[in-house]
Amino acid sequence: MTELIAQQLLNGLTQGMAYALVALGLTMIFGVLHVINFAHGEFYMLGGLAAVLGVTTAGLPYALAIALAVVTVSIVAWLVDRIAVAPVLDTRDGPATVLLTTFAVSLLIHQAVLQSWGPAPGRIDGLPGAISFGSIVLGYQRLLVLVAGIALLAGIEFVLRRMAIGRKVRAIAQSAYAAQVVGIDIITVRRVTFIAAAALAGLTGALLVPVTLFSPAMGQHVIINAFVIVVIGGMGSPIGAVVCGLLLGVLEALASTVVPQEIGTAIIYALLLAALLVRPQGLFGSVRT
Amino acid sequence: MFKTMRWVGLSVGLVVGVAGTGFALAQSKTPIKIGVIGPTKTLVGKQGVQGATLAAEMINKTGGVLGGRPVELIVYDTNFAPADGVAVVQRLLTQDNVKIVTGEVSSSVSLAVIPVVQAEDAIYIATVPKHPDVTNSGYDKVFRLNSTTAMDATAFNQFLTGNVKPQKVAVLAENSDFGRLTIDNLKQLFGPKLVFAETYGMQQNDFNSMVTNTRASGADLVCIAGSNMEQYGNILRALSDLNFAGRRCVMPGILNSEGIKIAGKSADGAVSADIYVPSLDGDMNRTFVQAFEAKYGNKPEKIELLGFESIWLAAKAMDMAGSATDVAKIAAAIRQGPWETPRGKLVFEANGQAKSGDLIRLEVRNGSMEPIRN
Amino acid sequence: MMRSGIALILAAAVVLPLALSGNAYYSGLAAYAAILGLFGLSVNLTVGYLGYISFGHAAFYGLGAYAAGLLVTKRGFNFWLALLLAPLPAAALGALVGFASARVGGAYFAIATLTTAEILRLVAANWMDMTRGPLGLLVQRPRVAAIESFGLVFHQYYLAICLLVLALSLEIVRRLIKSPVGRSWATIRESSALAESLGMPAVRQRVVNIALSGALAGLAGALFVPRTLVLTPELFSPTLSATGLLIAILGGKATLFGPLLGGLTFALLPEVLRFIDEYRIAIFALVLLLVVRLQPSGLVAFIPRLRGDVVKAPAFPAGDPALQFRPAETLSATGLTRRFGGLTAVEDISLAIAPRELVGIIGPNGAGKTTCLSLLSGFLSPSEGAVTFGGVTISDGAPHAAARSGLIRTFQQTAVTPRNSVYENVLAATYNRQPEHVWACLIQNAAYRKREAQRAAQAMACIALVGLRHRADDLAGSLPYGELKMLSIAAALAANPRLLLLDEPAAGLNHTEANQLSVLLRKLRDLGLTVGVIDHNLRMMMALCDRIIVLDRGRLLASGSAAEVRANPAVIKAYLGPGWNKGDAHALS
Repeated sequence: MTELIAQQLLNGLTQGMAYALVALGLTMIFGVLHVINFAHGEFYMLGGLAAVLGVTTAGLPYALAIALAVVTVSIVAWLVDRIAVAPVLDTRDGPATVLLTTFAVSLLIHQAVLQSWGPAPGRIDGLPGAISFGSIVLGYQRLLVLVAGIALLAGIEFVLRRMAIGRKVRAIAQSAYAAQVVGIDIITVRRVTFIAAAALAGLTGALLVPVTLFSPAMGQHVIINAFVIVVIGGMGSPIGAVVCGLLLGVLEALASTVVPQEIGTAIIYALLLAALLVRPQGLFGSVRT
Repeated sequence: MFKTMRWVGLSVGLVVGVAGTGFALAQSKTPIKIGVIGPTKTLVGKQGVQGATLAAEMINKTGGVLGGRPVELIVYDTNFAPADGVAVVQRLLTQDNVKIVTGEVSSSVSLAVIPVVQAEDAIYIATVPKHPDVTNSGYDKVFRLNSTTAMDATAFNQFLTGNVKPQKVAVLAENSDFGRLTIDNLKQLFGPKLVFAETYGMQQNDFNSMVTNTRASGADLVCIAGSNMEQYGNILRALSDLNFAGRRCVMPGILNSEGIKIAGKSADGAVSADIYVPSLDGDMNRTFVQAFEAKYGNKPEKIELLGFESIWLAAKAMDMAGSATDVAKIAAAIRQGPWETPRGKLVFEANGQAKSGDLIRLEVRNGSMEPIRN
Repeated sequence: MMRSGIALILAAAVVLPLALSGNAYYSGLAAYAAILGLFGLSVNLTVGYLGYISFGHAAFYGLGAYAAGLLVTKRGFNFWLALLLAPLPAAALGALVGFASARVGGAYFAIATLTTAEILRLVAANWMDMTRGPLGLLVQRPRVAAIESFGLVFHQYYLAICLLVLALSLEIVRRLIKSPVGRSWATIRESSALAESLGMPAVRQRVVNIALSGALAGLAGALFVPRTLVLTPELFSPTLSATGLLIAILGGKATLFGPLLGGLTFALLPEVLRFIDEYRIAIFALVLLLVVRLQPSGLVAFIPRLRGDVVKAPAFPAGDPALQFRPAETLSATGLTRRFGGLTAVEDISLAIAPRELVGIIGPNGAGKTTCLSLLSGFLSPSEGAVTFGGVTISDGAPHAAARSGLIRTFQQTAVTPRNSVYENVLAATYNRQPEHVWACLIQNAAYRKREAQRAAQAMACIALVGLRHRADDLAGSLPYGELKMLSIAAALAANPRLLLLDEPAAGLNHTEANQLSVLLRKLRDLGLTVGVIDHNLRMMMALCDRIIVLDRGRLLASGSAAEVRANPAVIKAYLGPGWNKGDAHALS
């Protein structure tokens, strides 16, 4: 029984780390740009695709394929920001309009991948092998996801707390107006945030593809969960996204030992909804009017 | 403002024009149009269309239908949405003046489409859907080429109880009509021996939790019932990764080489069954497989076959009925059979359900599907 | 214009089914466009008019569809009867979600709709006995023999019914947004505190809005049943919720016909592009991107006439505005204490404001003036003590109840609805004259229309009284600061006060404007209104008020005429102590 729980804990943590990393980018964009990026899942998918193509077509080692994924997604994100986000953001009802433009972009990216790569799934192996303690097994690739996830989170925390750009990001998240008054170049910080968050999603895609396989629909699948996590964690709260992502992964895995998986998810959602009645600003959101 | 409107119109026109040039094909005799529907943006949808396209090509090369009229396919995407299915079938029947609609993967879409076909008095040949209700609508011009879950069960259950002989059985099923019906079937078959049954959503892509619970249930046979190859491929991988010791069975009709490729070594030893494998004997099958390989570079499998059969059958039935528009005659011709297709002899039951030979039992060895010879 | 738009849809309900008699495809598409338009209308009600973003309107849509489907298949109902009942569970769900969200905030609504839709999807996918899960609930085409005997085919009368339902729903929404209830949504969207101060019960009106939105989405879902005939859990999918939201935004938020254009686009464009099936989604996305970049305010901006009627102020009656105020009551506070954590902002204050008095409340910074005013107007509940107005206790937590009894306050930071005109702002504030029931707003009988005319007259009188005649049709957001202050007083007056509490009305006003304010306040007193004023402008207060109450560090220091207060040594000491400034001393001397 303890072995079952321990194994499920590991399963839940790796799944939760995937949730957390995608949600983190989404929530960063919301925090700084105050928009919801509908195309975020497609960045995740593109990262996965770039890694698969890097290994299978270009014959790169996996580590380089990950780098390729980050670069590719960054370029696409820069383009998306130029075309669909930055120019509409400051118009009247900008945030609502960005919902539409990023939705259109997500359709375009998805269709482009379907036309070029096709609907077939793809597979690369990443780090093969596993460590086991008795019957408890942890694949190296999953271990990589966990370790890289923790490193990324620590890195982002460091950037946000200790570096100039991080302080600017936090300042804008608190009040774009005040940040502008003290002379922060809000346009640049927004662009950097958008691209960095997209690159994070791409990186996550590249890390996850050996575990979950590549499929052109993977972006559409991940965005919903990520979205729920962002909203529950408190929109714009990085800590909230990370904690809620990990928590959701672990709770789902543990609940699956007792109730059918989908029922478990429904119950977890209902509980969170009730919890939010007490903390309406999201579990980690700050009170903002 | 008018300027901007013109802009939008112009750019749409431009894109449409560029895209449209490839479609303009001149034909000497009036072509006979047949509608093909399905989730064409997914792999199964695409495979079905490939089979159908090949059938149309082969028919047109050998003189067409009804004294030289070529067959022309009109392909529409249904995107797994019943409402989309209704829209495209209405379009096919009233705009494109099609009399025969074929295809589809999703049972929900097929079920939504049947009343439309009935209202317009047309013929529908469903290819992949397995839902029993598809052939229970009471409309006499609906046919289905794939086997139903119940048909598979009668043949496959014997194999499970007689050859595999498990003590404890687990079933992992996608939450779809197919998955649910499979769970019911296995419950009946194994009773208390079925120790673990779980469904998964179409969006799930990490199966470690589910497989961990499967392992903990002590099952010595796990049956997978999900048509999505990413998902069953991933489940097979998770079973190996977590050192599941028992046997693996992929329920009949869903295993294909694409899924085996995904699962890699972890697919070895898995058993399954299907109504068709490309290695079948017979002249027609050899021709079919050769032509398919020449055109697409890989061997056709069940889905491709069903797509092929649907167009082949429609064309031959029109020839037999001597009409491309008299749906009553064409339907009667289909029903009359038997039909020679790559999988052998095909006959239709009174409700429109196709029947061919026995299920072919399969086992995965070294990454390829091999028939089990008893 | 809005009416003729609806009439046009009614005409289409007759003409289109006949024109498309042999064409099930196009009439099916038209019906689908109507359904999506209705769904967009529902989303727009909360997103546009209430300012609550919804990420899960599919919850209501799917519930409506399943309700109709289950009534037909499990209970043997006639579908068209089920169609009438199907919006009820969706409305109930809307009321429930709305009640929770309206109490805790708009962000919760986004979460609650999103997760509720997901929970319902999981329930529908797994409750096999009820919904048949992914097998799908099969519904027969609800054909009506009586109609078919006239030679009509199913797709014709189905389209007619869809368009009729759409026209009816549009008329319902049109009537509501032009009624006191709908006007209150605009105020609530801007600031629920402002709405409450004007006697609008924010929670209740939000619940009404969301329940109605849920009902309309449920209706759309039920109407969709004859089109799809197979009900699957995908009816609750986030994709559908996104579609509803995007329809509302693409069409134009907070416009009546915007969602219709959005629905038309989402239903027709992908189908029109069928002849290039392979690329149609990509082209749809490109067109979407292009349209949004060219016209961010939504499609409705392409057709200005559909943007909705601007509510023009009626002509001003000649002569002085005739305003009458209800006879006042005594407002009295006994032993008021209010603590915030460890800080005591107000301690043991007892005071009374008699009818027709003009009372000033002054005190140095941090004296607890605003806290005191919030306690008096029911915006804060006292830690100890009680406030009564005419012997009735001002209940805590429901400021609109205090406003209802005639106790109206204004805010230090001026609150108006900037995107509405001066007239619309003041007209919205007449809500409190006689709160209307939703049903009255829908039926609009002669008595209601008469009351509407009275409300309009009252609004005009209030605008004239504060001297904003020339500004009546200007957007509130375009007013200079001084006029904005006057507008907020006009709004407070329109709310039919018996006692008006003004929080620093002279702050930021120049000398002339402050004088005008004094004149106005005296005039109000002469018209029979009781007025309480908090302000820093001691010179004005000393000259203006009948009686002055002085607060210091949360306590009552003195009360009396200007001369008495000025001579009070404790007052002088307080003003010369911390928080003292030169202007104050000058006024005291």
